[in-house]
Amino acid sequence: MPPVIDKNLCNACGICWDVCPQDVFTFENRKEPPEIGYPKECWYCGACYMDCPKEAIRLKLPLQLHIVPSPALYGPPKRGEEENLRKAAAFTRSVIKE
Amino acid sequence: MAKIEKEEYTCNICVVGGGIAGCSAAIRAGELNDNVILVDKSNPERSGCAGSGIDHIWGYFPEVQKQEGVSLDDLVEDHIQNVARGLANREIVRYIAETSFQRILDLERYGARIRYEDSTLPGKLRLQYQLHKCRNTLHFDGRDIKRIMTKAAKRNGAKILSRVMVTDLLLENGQIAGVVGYGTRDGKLHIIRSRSVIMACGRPNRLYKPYNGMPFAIRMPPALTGDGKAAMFRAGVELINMEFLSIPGRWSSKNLIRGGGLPRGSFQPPGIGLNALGEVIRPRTHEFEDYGEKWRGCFTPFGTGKTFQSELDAGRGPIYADMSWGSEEDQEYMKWAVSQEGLGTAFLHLMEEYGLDFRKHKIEIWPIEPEHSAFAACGPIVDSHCSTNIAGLYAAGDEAGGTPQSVVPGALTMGYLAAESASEHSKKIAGLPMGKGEEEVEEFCNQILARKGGDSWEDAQQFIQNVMTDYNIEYRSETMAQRGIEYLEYLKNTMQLKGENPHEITHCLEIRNLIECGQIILRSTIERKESRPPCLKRKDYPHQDDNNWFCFLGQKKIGDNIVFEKHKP
Repeated sequence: MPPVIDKNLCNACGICWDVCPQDVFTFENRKEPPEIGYPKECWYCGACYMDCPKEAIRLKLPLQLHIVPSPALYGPPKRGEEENLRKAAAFTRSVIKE
Repeated sequence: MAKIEKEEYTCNICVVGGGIAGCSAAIRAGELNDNVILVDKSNPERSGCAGSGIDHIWGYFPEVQKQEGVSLDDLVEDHIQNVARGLANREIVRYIAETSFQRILDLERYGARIRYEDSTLPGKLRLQYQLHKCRNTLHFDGRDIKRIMTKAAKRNGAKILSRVMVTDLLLENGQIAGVVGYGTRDGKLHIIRSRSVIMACGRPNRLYKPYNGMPFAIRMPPALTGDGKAAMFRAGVELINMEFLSIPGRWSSKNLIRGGGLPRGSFQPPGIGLNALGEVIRPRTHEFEDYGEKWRGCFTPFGTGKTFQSELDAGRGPIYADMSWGSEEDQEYMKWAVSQEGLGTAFLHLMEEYGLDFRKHKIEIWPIEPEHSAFAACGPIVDSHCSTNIAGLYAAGDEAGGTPQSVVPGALTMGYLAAESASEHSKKIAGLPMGKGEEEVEEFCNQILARKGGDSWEDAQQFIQNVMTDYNIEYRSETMAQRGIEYLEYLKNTMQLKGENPHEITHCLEIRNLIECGQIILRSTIERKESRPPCLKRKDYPHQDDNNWFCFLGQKKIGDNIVFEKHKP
């Protein structure tokens, strides 16, 4: 059940059903929240999550799509990295002058 | 017995597919005061490759490129020689490079944000290095670009026909006369009679077994099943580059596969590619020079002498994207960029839901299933006006063949160009053409409606994915491709698809198109008797043969015969 609708927040406007590129929602009774009719066809694109005016939708992953955590090696820059930070900003963030 | 109902429409220009190319075409055609119908299999507000966002567009930005000493000609040449490796539609590449910035300014007029106070570049643009040897890729707020473009198309008078999957073209005396589509929710046949048609669907994205075992949780939109290409082929349109394939499709976050934004595009400034020992494989881009490499476009080696694949082969996998470094501003910029690009907002939401944090966690990345990619550039051969070999039929964006990595600017500019061409054509057609072409799909749907029980579309899809994965990835050769064609022919003749409702019948129609695309691909693979890295590696012809094969290979259907033709780019 990839998108999970909080039925307390949902106002049954049908926007999620309207925008879903995969058409995973069913919305038979236009007064009740949509159902997830085709959960296996979810693309996890988040269209429903982004466009829900009530913020009533969250995505839930099946186990095989979980990202298994692995600790990062770097973290925030240390002292003496100012020059690299400046170059990074210039190269990527278009912040070229000081 | 229930027979399928029909509904008819008429227009001057019918645009098929509401991605960036289709929306751009509908906007321009509307501007030219044409009577336009835009048909989309889902809803253009969130459909296509850019449905949940696209954060970058390449182009020629005169003020910045002139400072770098890069002319428009230089950029065109860089794209053709280095990005497309010589095989490209030169006139279209030039048109894209020349007009991309104009279309970006259009997007700004429609309401997209493209300028940022922190940028010190002319126009306050955020420009990145991406495909080319210059700083020419705009980074912008593209998360809702499809909503913005859909609104603009409506404002210009285009009628949007959502939830209709176009399956076939209508022809009258060899000229275009419209399209026929299946209503994915209402289950009707929609017959759209039109003076000209612009095809703007995408690639066949569900042909190969996905590495995560989830047929719909893939990188590119799973709703795209090569419907446009299959429909055009059946109508006699000549397709090129169908034998080209990127293996792997891309490196993506493992399990939860994402689009462009992560990890590559937003790798920098904080991002770095590591092997399992923590050794740097891909340095931060601004540190390339420390490793003896200058940025020279997308084929710049990583500078370390190692690749992600070489590390897997050497037993030092898996590979990680470590994006924990950088200033707070760098981190914010990266998150912003991820959120604006395909599936990225959902990725950030899911990271939060599952307790992941770029500062604390590195993200494992993995080579994903093959793709008929933007680099492969398969589709109808088009001229400098986006015309196909059928009068009145045009193709734009990913739908059109022969322009590798045309990507978003390709869609924006070719959509615009195709609309101008189609508008001109429509003016010359006096009466509305009354063509035919709906018989086959009508029969296909009626058979399913009449059938009790039968084979599920899921089983048929798995059959196709097994065939394409076994016969068209690792051991590509004439005999393997021939066997693949036999399998798909067997499936076509044996399957008795069932469909309980329009949703399932839509999937059955997708199966019909995936089989069509699979067979075209395998036939072209047999015909091109060489290897052409990186998109074609044959076991029986391991070497590139420029004397005979530096060309586009066209394939088309004439009656019951398949005809191949070579075209010099």
